[in-house]
Amino acid sequence: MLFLKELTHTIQLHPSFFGPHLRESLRKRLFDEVEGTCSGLYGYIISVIEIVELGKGVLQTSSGYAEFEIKYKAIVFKPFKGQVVEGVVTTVNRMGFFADVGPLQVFVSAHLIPPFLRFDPNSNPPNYSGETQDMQLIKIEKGEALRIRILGTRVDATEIFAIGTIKEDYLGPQPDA
Amino acid sequence: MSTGLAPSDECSHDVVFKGLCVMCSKDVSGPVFGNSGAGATINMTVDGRILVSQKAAERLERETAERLHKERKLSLILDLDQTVIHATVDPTVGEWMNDTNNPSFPALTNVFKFVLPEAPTVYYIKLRPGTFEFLEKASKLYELHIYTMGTRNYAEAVARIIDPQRRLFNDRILSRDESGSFQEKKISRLFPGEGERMAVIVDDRGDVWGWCRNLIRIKPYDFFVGIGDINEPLGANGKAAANQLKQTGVLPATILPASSSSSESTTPEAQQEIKEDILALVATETAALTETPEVAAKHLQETLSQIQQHAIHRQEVSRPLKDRPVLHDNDTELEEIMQRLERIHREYFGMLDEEGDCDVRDVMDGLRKRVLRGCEVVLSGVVPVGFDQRRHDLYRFATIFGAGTDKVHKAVKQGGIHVVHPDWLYHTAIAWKRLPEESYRLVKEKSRPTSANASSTQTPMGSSADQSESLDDEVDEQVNIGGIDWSAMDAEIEAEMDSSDEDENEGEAVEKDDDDFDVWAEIEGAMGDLEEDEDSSDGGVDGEDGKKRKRSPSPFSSSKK
Repeated sequence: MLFLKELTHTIQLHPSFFGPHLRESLRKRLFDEVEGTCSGLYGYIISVIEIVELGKGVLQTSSGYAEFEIKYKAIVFKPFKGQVVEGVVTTVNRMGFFADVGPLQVFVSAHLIPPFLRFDPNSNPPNYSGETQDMQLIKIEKGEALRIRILGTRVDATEIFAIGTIKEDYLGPQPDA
Repeated sequence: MSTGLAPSDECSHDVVFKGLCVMCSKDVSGPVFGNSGAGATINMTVDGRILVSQKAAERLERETAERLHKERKLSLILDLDQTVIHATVDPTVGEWMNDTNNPSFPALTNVFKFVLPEAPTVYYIKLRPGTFEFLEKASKLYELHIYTMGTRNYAEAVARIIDPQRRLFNDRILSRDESGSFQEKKISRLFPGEGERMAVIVDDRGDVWGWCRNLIRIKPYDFFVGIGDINEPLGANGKAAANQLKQTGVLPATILPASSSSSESTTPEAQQEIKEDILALVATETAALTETPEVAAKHLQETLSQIQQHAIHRQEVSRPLKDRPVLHDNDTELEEIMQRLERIHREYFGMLDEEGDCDVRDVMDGLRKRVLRGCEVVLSGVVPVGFDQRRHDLYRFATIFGAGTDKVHKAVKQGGIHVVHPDWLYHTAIAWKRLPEESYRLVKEKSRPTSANASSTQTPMGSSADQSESLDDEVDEQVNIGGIDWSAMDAEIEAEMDSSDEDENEGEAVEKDDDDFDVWAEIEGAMGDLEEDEDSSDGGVDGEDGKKRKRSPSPFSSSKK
């Protein structure tokens, strides 16, 4: 799920940046350092929306650096168990397929793919394909967009992994959605 | 998913994605997961994100085996470098490719090039003749895999060349980035279970595979290097090929700038020229004694520049890279390998249909055993003392190919027994054919009574440096083949050098001119160069020699001088 969240980030600024462009360089540092990172608590920080407060720089007596505690608002993405997400297939193999949901990697095991979709080892690129009850041909291959329900997540230091399923109604590739 | 031990409703976590069981979505990473028996540790995918347990791996492989049997296919694991392609990063190749006048241009028209994202280096890729046909044919009988020691990006780039539609290899590409080892290749990385019963490997190196039974070794493809060994039949002690083996024995599947070698014997004309040059130089030296220092110096300079030009010309003549379509493309190894693959495929499925079960390794062993059946091979002075000869490559070759090995010294004295260079065994192992022993015979007893002994004792094949020494020895023996008596010539030169030294001393006593000194230094330098040239042309008789290779690491760099 996506949230707008107020967060803080601490930046140590080198004295050479003290001057008319100090604010600008702080902003840049903030964007560089937080966007795209992942924390276990809040999930992926997708984008900084606004800077609430740059704070007052506190000079460090030992180094001469100024320390700023910046308050900012950012869009964060945290996947939850049971949540339905939309993703794009990246890799397909006989054990299942991987999909990217933004920065999140989701793996869907072959057991959690509806049985009418079969893995064809000779297909190129590899895919799961089959016909639905109303004779519609469905193919899951690299680049395909689909809906996945997240069954479980694991939070690494810098990444989140998830296991998903498409073995439910209204999951998987969506016809002309 | 239940094991016999666990209660049936408990997940055995057979397949794990980054610490998450893909079945029950439980986090099975941490130390809490103490159920070691069911631990998923086998990497079945290319990128290693998914780990599976032994049980699941076996199940997956059984499925693969069934599918392949249905399609009547086996698995073929193919190496890239020096097996189906030859790669170089030498920019000279690019220059030649853009130069339509270059004699090598025609041969380079089907050289592909690419740049990898991580560096601006341009890679030039030459496909082994018949690669496309080979892959096309092989893909009918085998499911093709790539297993290379190159990086992922490199493997992908090469795959785009040899299989543009991704039809043959699909995503069955394993590179060094994922293989988990830089030194060895393991069949179990691709087939952790019984899949190896159906896998055939084609690689130019056996040691990385631990000479496993599934391996067909192919002669290393050496396009950018010593062309001689491809044209050369395996006779003449087959040294070029031995060198090649040695070379590739050092660096597997990496892209090296091809090592330098003109690998052409110096033509008689060139040798004649060298001789003339030397005579001219000697004549000038002698004349110098009777002339004023200035005139002598001038003369010498003229002669030297002339000699230099001759040397350049000679190099151009002897170095095929310059004025002839060098890069001969008549390698036919892939055809032979294809025949072998067809045969293995035929026998495998023949046996499968008859007996319902078959192991491709037994089939291959059967084919190999016929090669040297009834042969007794004595490895005398080949295996270093103290080294277990059963672990030596040659011993393995001999036994793999069906020969017995026993150390029987007296056999040499009896009639009807071939005493051959170890290369015979190496080449037999590559060709899967018993090659005629005559071409590899160590028959130097007449000229050198102990030579058979000497050269075989000096040839511990394990160490390449020693081998090149022994090859050098034999170069000496072959000196007369070119029709020119080099040793006599050497003696002549030395004699002249000695006498000119004396002359120099005399001259010095009379004239103490500094310029004079410089000129003499130059002459001696030139003589040194000349001798070096001779060395290399000596080496040229047999393809390449160690010294020469060390001196110029690239075949192209020296021609640029």
